[in-house]
Amino acid sequence: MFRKYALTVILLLVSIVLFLGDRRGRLERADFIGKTIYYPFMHSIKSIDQIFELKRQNEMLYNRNAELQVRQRSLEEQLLKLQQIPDAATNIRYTVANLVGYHGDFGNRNLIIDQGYTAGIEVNNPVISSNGVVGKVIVAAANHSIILPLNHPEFKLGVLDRRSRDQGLLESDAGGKVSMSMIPLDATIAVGDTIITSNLSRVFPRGFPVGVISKVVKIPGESYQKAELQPFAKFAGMEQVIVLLYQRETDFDELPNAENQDAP
Amino acid sequence: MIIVGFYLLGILFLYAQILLGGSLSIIGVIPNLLLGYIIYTSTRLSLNFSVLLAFLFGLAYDLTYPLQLGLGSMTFVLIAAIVNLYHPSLNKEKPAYVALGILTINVVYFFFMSIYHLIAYKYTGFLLLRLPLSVVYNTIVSFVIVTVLAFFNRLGIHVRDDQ
Repeated sequence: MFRKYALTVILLLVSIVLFLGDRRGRLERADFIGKTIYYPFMHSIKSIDQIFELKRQNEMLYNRNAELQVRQRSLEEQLLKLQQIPDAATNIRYTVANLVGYHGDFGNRNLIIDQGYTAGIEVNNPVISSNGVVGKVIVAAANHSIILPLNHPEFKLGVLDRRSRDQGLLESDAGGKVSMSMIPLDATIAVGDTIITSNLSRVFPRGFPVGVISKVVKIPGESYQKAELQPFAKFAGMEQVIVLLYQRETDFDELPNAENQDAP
Repeated sequence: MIIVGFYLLGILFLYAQILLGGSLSIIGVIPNLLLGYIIYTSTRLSLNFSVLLAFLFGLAYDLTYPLQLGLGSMTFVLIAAIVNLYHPSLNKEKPAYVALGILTINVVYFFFMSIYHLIAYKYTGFLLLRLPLSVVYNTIVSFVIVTVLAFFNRLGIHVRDDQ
């Protein structure tokens, strides 16, 4: 009878001995058993725990990465929006003027507006519409002004690709076709890129939208490439323009001559 | 050789308990998959083998909860002995009797666990809130495990190979 239950009794006694004592004692015994008899089991459990922990961390990092990507995308969009706003847009005064006529022959035609220097307009003031750059003031009379539009052959403007930040020069041919020239050959401009005014412009503040690239032209042998633009400003049917009462402060002509400065 | 098979099956249940137990929890009650295994094993093996496996896996399970070291192995050995001794007198043709037997085993198991909680943590919330759910949930899980194991072995749970 006793032999039948001997093992059961022994195992029960061993269990009770293991259970007796304080918490610290049980922890020490568990630690000892885990490092000796049950080492393979405990080692495997720890390994599995580590795998689960790594998996959890991986998921957390994956989610964090996704969040950051979304955040980055959001910030990029915000940055693009901010880049459309001129640096000192809030400080620039402006006046709205009506387009009242044209000056010059077809192909060299300028715009006449019903506001002049009595409204604060000066020569070289930038002119925009709700869509984008229109041109600049070339004559400011008392009650009217003449605007040189951006599709005039004499109009030049420093611009840049908003995405690739490649600089260029906006100019137009006699037919009114607007293009961006002087683009370096290694520039990464592409069709669909938005062109904005650059900091190199002597007339416009940086960041005003000009147009979108409709075609990239690379002529073999040329050291620069060219891009045809579709201006945002719609001259046909234009009724009002916004004259920015703004003058660039830097007068590069007054800078000291470096050659003379270096001379003894 | 059957003892080796049950030992390997026990390892399977032990890892299942550790890896899957948490995901099977209901309102914080983690089912004890090993309990069903111990009950089934004790109906199939002799007393000594049953209590030996119960002790080994009970101790392994205790190592994952070191503060209750010895308690799991002790209750498992007791349960293995009780099942081994009294299951022949149970009419296993009727599932209700089997379920009742498993319920009794679960009550025994959680009786010991409750005493431990009372002594160690002075925590009566376990008894009032989670004990009834633990007993019911574990009874269901144990019944399913015993039934599935019996089915897969193409044996009735009343058959003992070593007799």
